[in-house]
Amino acid sequence: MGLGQSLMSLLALGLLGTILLIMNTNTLDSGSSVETTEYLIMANSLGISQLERASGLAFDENTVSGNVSSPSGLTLVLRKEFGETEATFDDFDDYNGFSRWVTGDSIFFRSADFFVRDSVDYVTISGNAVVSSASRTYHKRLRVWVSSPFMRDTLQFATVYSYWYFR
Amino acid sequence: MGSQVIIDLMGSFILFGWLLLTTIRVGTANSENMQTYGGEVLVQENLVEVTKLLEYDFRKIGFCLEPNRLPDPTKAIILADSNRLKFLTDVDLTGTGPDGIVDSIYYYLGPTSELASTMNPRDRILYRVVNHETPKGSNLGITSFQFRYFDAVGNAISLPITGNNLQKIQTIQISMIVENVVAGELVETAPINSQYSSAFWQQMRLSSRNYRNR
Repeated sequence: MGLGQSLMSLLALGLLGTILLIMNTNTLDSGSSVETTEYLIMANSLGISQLERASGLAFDENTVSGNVSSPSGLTLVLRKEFGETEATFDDFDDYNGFSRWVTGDSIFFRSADFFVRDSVDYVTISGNAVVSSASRTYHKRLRVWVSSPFMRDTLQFATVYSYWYFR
Repeated sequence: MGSQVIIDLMGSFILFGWLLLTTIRVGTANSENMQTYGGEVLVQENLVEVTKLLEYDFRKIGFCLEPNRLPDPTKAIILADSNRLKFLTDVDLTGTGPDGIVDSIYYYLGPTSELASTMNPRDRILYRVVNHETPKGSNLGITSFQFRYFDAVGNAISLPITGNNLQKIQTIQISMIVENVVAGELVETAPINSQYSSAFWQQMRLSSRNYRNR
């Protein structure tokens, strides 16, 4: 085999190798996208679950067993009360500053590990936007961030919960 | 024909054979991957469709346009089991919005024997029955559909839940696994290995937003 033929063979092998690498890259990218989408669905579900849990609680510590007649009767500092844990949270703003890891396992939670972080503040309307309020109002906003080492993006969820009296 | 030519020819044949095998193998693996990922996408689409329906229905547990017809939303759940749930709500039956008449929605999972004709031995039909209509469901590849119920302080309520205990339900945890109805058959791992794509989903839902004084 002459030098020219050898070079042509090497070139062909190089070309084939490049094509194989490109195909492998595409395959891995597709797999990664599919898995990321699955994690995003689960992260979405976790975020909504957190909003649901919080929305099932009382609006404020002072409305757990009673009513308030003006915003000044609401809690000034939004945080969980002393000794409370997630299992004993009883009002919406207990989730302010709360965070936890949701770890995936193969039996009860077949997914990746997620980090959930919450923030609660008083809000008011300014123009057409919901903005944070320095003073107490009848409206609180819960924001939830869900991230994972397996996701590039952090998902943010928010809901506004208002004080109301049932019928 | 000289010996050098014979060596060249043999080398060429070996190289050609190796390249051919590599190409075939890459083609097969690529097809399998495309099949697997296509199955994954299908599963995820099915999962999202089911979850959209569940989220829509479950957020309306205990709701009625005419509140006097459902005065106590804590009584909206009338049957709660590990894979069955029946609740009262006001369903938009005509597409013009809720009509103020209390309806019931019943979710339950059918037996695997109903879908014995499909390739997946575990898939089951999820039924959604509004009032007393004929049960309707579609095969979206659901293989597991579980409910867990929690009271106001977050304790799991043990099954069966009957009578006044139904009113203790404040949150419902829904867990679901959706699998592909048709398996991807992988020939790369001998012997042929049937692999079903699957996706898991879990969410907490309030049993009723109109639960009590806030």
